Amino acid sequence: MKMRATKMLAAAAVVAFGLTACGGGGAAKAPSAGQGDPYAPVIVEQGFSEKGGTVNVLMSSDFATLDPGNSNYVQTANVGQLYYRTLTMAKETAGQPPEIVPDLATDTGQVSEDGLTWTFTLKDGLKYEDGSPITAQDVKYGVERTYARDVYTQAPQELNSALSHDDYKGPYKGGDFKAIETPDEKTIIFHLKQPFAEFPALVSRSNTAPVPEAKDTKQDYTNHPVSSGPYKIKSYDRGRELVLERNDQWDPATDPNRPALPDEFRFSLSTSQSTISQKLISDADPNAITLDSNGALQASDAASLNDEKISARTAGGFLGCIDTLNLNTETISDPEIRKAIALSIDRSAIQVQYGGARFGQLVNSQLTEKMVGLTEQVSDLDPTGKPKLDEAKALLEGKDVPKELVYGYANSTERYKNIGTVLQQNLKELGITLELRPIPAANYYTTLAGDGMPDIARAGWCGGADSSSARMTVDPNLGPSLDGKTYGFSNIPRFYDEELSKRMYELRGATGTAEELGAQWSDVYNEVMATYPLIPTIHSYTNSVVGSNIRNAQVGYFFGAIDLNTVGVEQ
Amino acid sequence: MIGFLFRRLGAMLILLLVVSFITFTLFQFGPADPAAASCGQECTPERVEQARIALGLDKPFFVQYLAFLSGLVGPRMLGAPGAEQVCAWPCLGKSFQTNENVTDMIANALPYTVSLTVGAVVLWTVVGVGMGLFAALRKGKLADRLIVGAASFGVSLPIPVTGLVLLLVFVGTLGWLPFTTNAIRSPFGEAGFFGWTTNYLLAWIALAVLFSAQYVRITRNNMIETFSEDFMRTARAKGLSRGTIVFKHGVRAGITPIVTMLGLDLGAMLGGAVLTEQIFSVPGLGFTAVRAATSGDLPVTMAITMLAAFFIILFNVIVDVSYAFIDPRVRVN
Amino acid sequence: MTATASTPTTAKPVATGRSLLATAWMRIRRSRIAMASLAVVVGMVLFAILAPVLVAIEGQDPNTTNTTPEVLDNFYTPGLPLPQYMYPSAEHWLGVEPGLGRDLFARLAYGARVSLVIALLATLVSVVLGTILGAAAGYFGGKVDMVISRIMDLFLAFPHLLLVLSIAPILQSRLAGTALGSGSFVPIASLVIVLGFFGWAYLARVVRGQVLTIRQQEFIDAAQSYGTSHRSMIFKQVIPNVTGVVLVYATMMIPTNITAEAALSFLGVGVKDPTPSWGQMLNAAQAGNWYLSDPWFLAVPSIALIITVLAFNLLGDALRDALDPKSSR
Repeated sequence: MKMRATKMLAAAAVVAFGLTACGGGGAAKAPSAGQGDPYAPVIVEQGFSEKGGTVNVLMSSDFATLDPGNSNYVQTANVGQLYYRTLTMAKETAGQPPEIVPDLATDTGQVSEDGLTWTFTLKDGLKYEDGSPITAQDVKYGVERTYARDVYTQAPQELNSALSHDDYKGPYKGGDFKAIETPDEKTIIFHLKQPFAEFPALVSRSNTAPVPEAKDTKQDYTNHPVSSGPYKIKSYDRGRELVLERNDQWDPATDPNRPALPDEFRFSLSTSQSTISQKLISDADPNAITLDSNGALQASDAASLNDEKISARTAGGFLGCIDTLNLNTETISDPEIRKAIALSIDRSAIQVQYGGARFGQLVNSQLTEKMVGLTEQVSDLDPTGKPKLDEAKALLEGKDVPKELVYGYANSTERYKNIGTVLQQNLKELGITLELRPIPAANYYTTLAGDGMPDIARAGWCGGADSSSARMTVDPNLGPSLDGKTYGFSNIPRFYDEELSKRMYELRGATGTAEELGAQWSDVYNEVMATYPLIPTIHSYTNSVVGSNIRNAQVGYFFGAIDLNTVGVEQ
Repeated sequence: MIGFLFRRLGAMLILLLVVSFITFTLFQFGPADPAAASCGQECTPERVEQARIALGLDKPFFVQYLAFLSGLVGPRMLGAPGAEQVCAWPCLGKSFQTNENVTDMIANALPYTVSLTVGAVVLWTVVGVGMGLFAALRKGKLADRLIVGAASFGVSLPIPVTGLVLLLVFVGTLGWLPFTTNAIRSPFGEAGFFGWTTNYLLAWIALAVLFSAQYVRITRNNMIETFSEDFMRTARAKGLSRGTIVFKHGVRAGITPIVTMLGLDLGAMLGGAVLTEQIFSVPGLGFTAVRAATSGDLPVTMAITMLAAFFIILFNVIVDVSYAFIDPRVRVN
Repeated sequence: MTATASTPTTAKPVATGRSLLATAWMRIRRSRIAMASLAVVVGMVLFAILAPVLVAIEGQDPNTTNTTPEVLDNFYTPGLPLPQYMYPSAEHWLGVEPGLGRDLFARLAYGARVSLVIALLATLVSVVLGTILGAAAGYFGGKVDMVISRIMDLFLAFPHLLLVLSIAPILQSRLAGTALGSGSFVPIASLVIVLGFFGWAYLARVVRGQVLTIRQQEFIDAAQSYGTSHRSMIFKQVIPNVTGVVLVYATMMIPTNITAEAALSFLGVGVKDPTPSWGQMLNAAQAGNWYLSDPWFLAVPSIALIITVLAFNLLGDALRDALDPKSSR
């Protein structure tokens, strides 16, 4: 019932937004605060429940993989919910962090008193596409595969890092995995290294998708993963087309989470983004949607979103993703200089590079209101993104300011290069020359983690399936390494402070309610941010235009694109 | 003749080996680390090393190169130690990015490139040779000057400019033609000949504008030269009709350089029209190659570069052989 | 790869270089098209050289961004210049670009420098390599000829664009860390190397053919009988005699290299923002589909590119005709 109320509120917001959109001249058509919430989620033609039809999904590139044991991308998770099920599921509601609900399991898990053992029981009547039953052993085997990191180089590791026996080498070399027990065909028991309150979210990851050992074709499993969900693979022509059809062995009675409306999904896998956006805007294919980021929209497409007819076909919603500019705390070690840099940056000009306010909100913190236990966050950054040059210059007086800095960006994205051009001009005001250094996109994050880390680098952090937890944002971005002795692996600013890092290290194993833990992580974050290791910029809002026959289209907070689970098509 | 073919074939194999070796060597110095690229965003140094082993990149350079070559003569084993899989002949390896069999990727991309090439070649040959011939017959007159002028202009139009302008006008503004779709690979599919034509038309035109200009020039100059040759004067003296002279004698003698150019252009086009495929979003060999080259996908880049070189060399041989049939004055030796 | 030359005419060898050029110049002066093309070429070169002066007169700068709501639309189509800034005006002679609001005239002028420098230097590299290697192959014959000819075959069989596509990023990343430094130098240098190094083979083949013809002529035999060294013969006899053909090919190679720079920068492996070049400007026009809502942004670099390439092509044609007595025009 609670969910229904939220959705109705959302629908009301759509109407308000629509009215704003078509009234008056130029400026009035833009999303602006004060006339309803411009960032409220928008769901296209909500409440549709007819089955049948084909949804055409336009994509600029093939899925990295369809193998649940080798998939580490939101895109593969989005399509994955159609052909595999997991113990729990991250169920999307537009504009909200996903809700963790039971999927293959009867509940979201029973935890032992010491917090180190989680037990799940499988539902009755679960079957694969060939009619054979889904067993607890298959779920275990699915997890085991993700430990064969030499075979599955992109295997997701969040779940694995929480389990004990992490020296396990996978089923091909390591034999039986001791951290998971399956006393019978229905029961699966996980043993953890240390208590982990968010564990039900971890088992929603694709690791726990069941894989029948007899059907494991290793690296070729991606060509035809055995379906446990409402759809199965009909044909898959790599790089060109993937067709999913109904799996008649899937029993809707075991699965209240998946409406499974269309009869078929047809993925077209190599159309350039500019073509995709033009096709969607012109409604060239009324059954079309896209999974590309930003709805495949190009910077110049924003105007068409103001068109009443097109805005009626545009789903919108916040993602869990917030972009940041990371300052290398090793090369720019003085917090005051970092603060001066932060204050000198024109973040409103950066917002224009994202396509303006419509595509994201300026934020001063990576923590959002959606996070449980959030405490007050203080920031000297101007909330409208304007630079505070005088303050910045005052901070630098008498300091040994670096003359030259390097900004690194992923070479595949125009926007990130443009951000560099904006920064170049802002830093010139402080007497700093900024060099723009392109980094091959495929190696971007490994470069930042290695010796190639520039002085300033953009990064985006998406909270993932568990974005309502402050820890899942603070720890990976600014926390210490596993042993607590240096900065963590994904800590791009290389932030390490004796006292603050130690506090984060201790918080990892702390027990308490979600509220209490959330408040403690928020407090540490606030203190860390006073030293400006990173500058939050944009909280992404995705607009995704869909074809005129598409119904129930919502933008997933976690998936960052149209949620394939709910979408339907009018015939 | 047969000895000649064998010699050319031998030279071709050696050349292909050298091409593959150079491409392979160059890649060792590339900026992108394929191992890091293949394991995604959250990749610890430990996992990068595991990926390196799985891709076989930990082995010495020559071992890697020989392993690649072995796939050209027979099946080979690929994958992480303990989880190897057979890659059937001809094995060009698997993509570092998607683990897809490269032979399949090429087989998938080739029809698009062939569609693009066939239509463009027909269009530019008909337009180019036709206009060149017409200009030669009207030498010095207004029509000749206009055609020659247009050709000079056409040859100066870069593909990105023509391509974007065509898209802007016919798709973006007028909406007369649809956006290119990758669902249409041949004129024999669901969409039929008409659908195929409309799908590729703009890309053909963009290519034809550039290429037919060269054919106009070469046809015109050759025809003018041929018309002034002795045997043509003889034919005229014999009182043959103008049509007979032009088509039976003149064209046949003047066609050699056109065939040469056509052969070379065909060879180059089949290796992938990189720019055109990129602009019009045609997922052919050129499109695939750009993606592979920018993401450090060595097996794919290797395969496409070798295939492109193969086409270039093959059509060179074809051109040489065809001389013997077209122009009786040429003897192959 | 033998006997497949597809280019129309090769100049007949003549006795001395100077009189040849003098004759050619006389013929060019008589052609109105040739003189107009020459004027455009000279104009473009001046435009490039004087870029800082012209831009200073305009009062703008190629790198200053201007994203304020007074210049760029911040609401309806965020990033699109407002009408009074999109098109030419007294303040911005060619308007401003979308997204960053930088002055288009300034970028076009500085871009002309980059595009022309790359094309000219790459041509120079190709011409030097092609002339020396081609002349050596034709002059010495035998094993030298065989080795050089096989290398030429190899270069001609290589799918250039594909190879350049892989090499350009390699060079750029390798040069970036070195003392050669940062900024615009690296991409420019790497394009010069790549284009220059892959453009010589064709010219070398033509020069080789020319030299073979010259060798059979008497004056070389005469020189040889006087005991002149190889080196002085190559430089005093052979090279002056191929000047004509080299000049024609060089003139035609320049527009090819201008187009190649545009193509590579367009594909994102050449010159990169913030360094302007005409190819980089085309790339920016396509990025984000800006050319659909701001066609003027596409038109500016396109027109500059077409005019320049056309002028060089026409000049090359005129030069070829002027140097070739057999020419039919």
